[in-house]
Amino acid sequence: MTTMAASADLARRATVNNYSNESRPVQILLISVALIFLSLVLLVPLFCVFTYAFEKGIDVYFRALSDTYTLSAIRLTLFTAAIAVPLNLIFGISAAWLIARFHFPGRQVLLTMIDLPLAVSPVIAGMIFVLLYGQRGLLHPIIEALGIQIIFAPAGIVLATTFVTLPFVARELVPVMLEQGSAEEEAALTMGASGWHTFFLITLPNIKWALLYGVILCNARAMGEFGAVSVVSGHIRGLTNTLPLHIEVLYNEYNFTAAFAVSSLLALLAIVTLVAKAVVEWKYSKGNS
Amino acid sequence: MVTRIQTKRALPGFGLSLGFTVLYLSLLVLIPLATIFLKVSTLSFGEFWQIATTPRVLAAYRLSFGASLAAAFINLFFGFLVAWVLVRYRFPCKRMADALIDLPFALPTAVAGISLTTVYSSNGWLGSWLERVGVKVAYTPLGICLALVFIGLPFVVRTMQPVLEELEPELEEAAACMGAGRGQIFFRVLLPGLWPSLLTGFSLAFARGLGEYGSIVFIAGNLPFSTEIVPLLIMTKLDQFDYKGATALALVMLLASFTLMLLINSLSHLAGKKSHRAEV
Amino acid sequence: MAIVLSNISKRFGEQLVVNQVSLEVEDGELFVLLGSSGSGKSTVLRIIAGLIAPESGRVKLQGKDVTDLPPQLRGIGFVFQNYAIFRHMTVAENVEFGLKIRKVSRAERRRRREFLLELVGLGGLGGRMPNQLSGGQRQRVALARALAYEPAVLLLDEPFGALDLKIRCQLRRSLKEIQRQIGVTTILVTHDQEEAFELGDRVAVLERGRLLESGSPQELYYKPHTEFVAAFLGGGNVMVGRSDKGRIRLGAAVLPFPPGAPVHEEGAPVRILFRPETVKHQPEPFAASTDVVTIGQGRVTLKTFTGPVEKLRFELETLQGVRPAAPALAYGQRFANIEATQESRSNGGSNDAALGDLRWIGLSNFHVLDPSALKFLAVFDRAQPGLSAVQMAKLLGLASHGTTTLLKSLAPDDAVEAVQQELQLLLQNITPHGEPRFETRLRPAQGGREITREVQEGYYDLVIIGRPPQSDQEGVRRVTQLTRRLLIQSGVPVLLASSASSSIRRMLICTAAGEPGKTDVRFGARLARHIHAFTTIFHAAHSKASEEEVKRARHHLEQAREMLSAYDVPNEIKIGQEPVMPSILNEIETGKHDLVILGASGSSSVRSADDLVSRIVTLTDCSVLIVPMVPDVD
Repeated sequence: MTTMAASADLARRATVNNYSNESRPVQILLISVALIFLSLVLLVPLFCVFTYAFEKGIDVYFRALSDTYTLSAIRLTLFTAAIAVPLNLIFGISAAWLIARFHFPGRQVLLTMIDLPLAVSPVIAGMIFVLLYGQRGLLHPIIEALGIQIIFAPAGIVLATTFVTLPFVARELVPVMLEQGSAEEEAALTMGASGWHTFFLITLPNIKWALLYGVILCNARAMGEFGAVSVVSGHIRGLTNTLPLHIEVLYNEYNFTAAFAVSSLLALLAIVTLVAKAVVEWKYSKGNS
Repeated sequence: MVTRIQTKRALPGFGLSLGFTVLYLSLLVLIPLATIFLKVSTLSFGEFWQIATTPRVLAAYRLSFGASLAAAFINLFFGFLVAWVLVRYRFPCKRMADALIDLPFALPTAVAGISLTTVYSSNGWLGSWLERVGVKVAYTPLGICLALVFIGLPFVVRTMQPVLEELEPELEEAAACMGAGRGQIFFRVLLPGLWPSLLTGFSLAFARGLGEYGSIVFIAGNLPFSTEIVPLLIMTKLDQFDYKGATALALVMLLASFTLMLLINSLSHLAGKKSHRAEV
Repeated sequence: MAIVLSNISKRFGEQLVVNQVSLEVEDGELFVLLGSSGSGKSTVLRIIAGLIAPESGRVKLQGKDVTDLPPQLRGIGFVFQNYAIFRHMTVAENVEFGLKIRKVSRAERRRRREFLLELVGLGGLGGRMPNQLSGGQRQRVALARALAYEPAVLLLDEPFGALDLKIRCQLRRSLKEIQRQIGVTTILVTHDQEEAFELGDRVAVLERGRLLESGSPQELYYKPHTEFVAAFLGGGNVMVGRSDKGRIRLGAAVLPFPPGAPVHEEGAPVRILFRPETVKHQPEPFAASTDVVTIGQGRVTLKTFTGPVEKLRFELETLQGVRPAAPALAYGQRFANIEATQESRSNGGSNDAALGDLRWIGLSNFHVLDPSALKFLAVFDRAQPGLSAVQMAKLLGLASHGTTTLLKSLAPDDAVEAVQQELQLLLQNITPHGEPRFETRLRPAQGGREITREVQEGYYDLVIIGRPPQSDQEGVRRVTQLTRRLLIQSGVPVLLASSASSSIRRMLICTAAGEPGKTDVRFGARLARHIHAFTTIFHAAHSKASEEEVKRARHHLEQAREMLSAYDVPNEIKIGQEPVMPSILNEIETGKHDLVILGASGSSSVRSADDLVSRIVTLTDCSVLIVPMVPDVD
């Protein structure tokens, strides 16, 4: 689109924002209702986390964080994310390349399958791994023979987390790659670039922001997953408690300050995720203008 | 005549990406999910029916479906309002409000659960205030509904935003030229075209609410027959090593989610979009 | 030869998008592929680049067969319509990309890049990002980028399609200069005739996947071989007269065959082309001594000033019985139109015609197109009673000087020679004097799919299938199924020939009032003109139709009548009563019609026509012609 047409389009939208719209008092009323609703449902709980975390002072806050069990929960959470996220990153790229660059029978079915983990309740997501690898599970004889434990062990937590966070990278990449089309890649091929060259020199730079956001989202979910992990974990303190499970334990012991202190770490992660998303969207809107 | 029938693809990597994607999906998603069906198939239909329809389970269904529906309706209204305000009006902190919408996607459900409970319990910031007018939120079905509103809000807002952005200004201008007032324009010109997307957002929020566990388990009282949701009941059965019972309930929930997913897919087809863009 | 394509074909699903295209491009030539959207021109280009694999045929670049090579190894430069500039790289990085891939040294890369950016007029802009450039500049980058590694062949896919008219003209000129200067063999794809003429050393015209003609712009404009090219390139008047004792009879006028004109049989249709600028007009007849051939007297019906030229339109009553192929007769129009142009003058001038004036029209020059009569496909198949199809093809072929291809599908155990012989014998029996022309064609397998493919690949005007007798319900079902398939997938009219019609004396056109109803009337009129059948145009009116609707239907029929009269076809019009089916059946019965023509538009209407067709076939024994309706005819 030429700049002229773009600015004409902008002018058109601006018109709608001005005169052929609701009167300003009505607008202010609607805006107020929306903002009050957002505050009550979203903002107040977020504030609550930090307020309660620091309620008894900074010392108590840091003491709660440096507790042995908290530290082991942090370690386990990082360990889980360090495996689940790279796996789903590779899967996401592979699936997006397949779906956005080729047409083949079953493509739509595949796209739906990638969304499956989102449609399944986290409790059920955890349950299926118990059914497979648990005491009376289908594959229990095999893993017992191999001498490994999956359920009530970190391995199960990693599996459940990988399942739950599987769609995130792919779902970010597919729409972006579909919209960009394959023209640039075809151009690179006609100029003599090999497949890998094309991917690393052309495709990757074009999708890097969406990829980054997908990874951040995937990571946030991997570190924060509660339901699925809760089923397979067994809640063994110091061994199989991730951060969200540790929060539950602390909360149920009425150790509210510690629970919120640990929560504040995850809330911070959430805020970073939101900022990252805003940055990515800003990058794309800049790139398209 | 036809010397060679083949569909060679110019871009490389079809075989590799197809192989890896399908293998990964099968190992991690398809085979594990299939075990549910395998497990249920060991039950006779009578057994299945008996497990899936005990009074306690029925009460849990009622609560899960009822609270999810109520929350989805609340989100339909407020979510649409928020999306409308964000797309069409200018006001301070708009960008921040917009970014905040995704908070339920990003904030771990356990954190959301404990903070909502604290805020809305009878001695919390808002709960104590509500208690004075006789409304109890935490540990009641209302609390469950609140948690589900929190969880489902972004689905409606993020489904509606792009659709509202794409509304052609000419539609309203034409209607205004033909003499329609604002109310008429909204209800007769705009709203009829928005139904598929509204329904998509509603179903997404509803589907998510059905399966939600983390945020509810704290704010619900978890009392059988009154504040026990289906995912919690499944969890309880698992803890008691009642795998048959758990799988039977899981199957019911799974079928409900698949039906909703089918509905959502056909709806977004109807709305003429490639895929719904709401992120989870 | 730099580029040689031989018999390239490509299908997307069941759709044939490229059909047996062969072409040769010489070293250093700028060759243009011209066609409307959907003609398959871009697909041909992508096949040359290796971005799409052809279904059959070979691609040779610089004498080397590259059909099986991936695009990376073909050594081509490709410029895309939407630029496909790498948006995350600077202009310089974009241009150097192909060189980096080829591991060219940094200094050499720099030298090439500077040279090319200078060449395309972007000197000093190497550091810019693509989103800082205008559309025209981006396309210049794409051109520089494609030329950087000195490809043997440059391919441009509608390179100026997304640009403003003014920038498009500028870029065309620079492209032509750059191509001259570098001398790279180039193929450019466009839908714009002006662009093709301005740029092309040679131009090839594609239509529906088929390469119709190629040649220099002058050859194509003044001496085309086919009607499509004549009408596609610029305003052209194409009239269909008849060959009459070594001359061309055009209504009341008689024209000599110009020297070098293709040979026509006596009585065969002759299509002549004359461009608007060769049409002369004056108040009195043209003297026999001048070079201008008089074709008759016409009235000025339209006069438009367009700047350098004035466009005129004349209506010629004297061309009664002549089919104007271009400009086509508008529905309900009785007389042929002729388009003319003349230089405009500021003060009118001496030879000025006013609206409504009656003038003598003459041609200073005209061109005779290749004889090309209607092409019929007669399906001679075990599944259908083939003999009646062949008889019908003979009837139509004789009347229209058309040629028929006789299609026979082979069963797995058929011996090819034996079947060939059998067909030859049959043809000798039916056409002992070799008139009309018949060809035979064998398809390797049986079934509707093979027939559909033949219809798609052969570009027939009409498919003739023998219809089963009334009583054969299974046969009727099979035939209607095949008919539907052909109508939807090939868009060619289908005639279900009855063995009862040894001649066609009375024809019935069943038409719906309104836009879609016009197509079947048009096609029916063309057919009736050849076979001199008395034609009834029939419309079944709604029993509760308002006065307004009846009036509209009557108007539609009156217009149809005008059109048939313009073609010299004796005719009548009739309005029947609802319900449609019994009313049509009754008309067939009482009118003793040999051929019924029905229209079908869109797949849903094809299905309802299906129903009508199967009822007619089961209840009467006449022939039925189903015309698929093309909504965008003129």
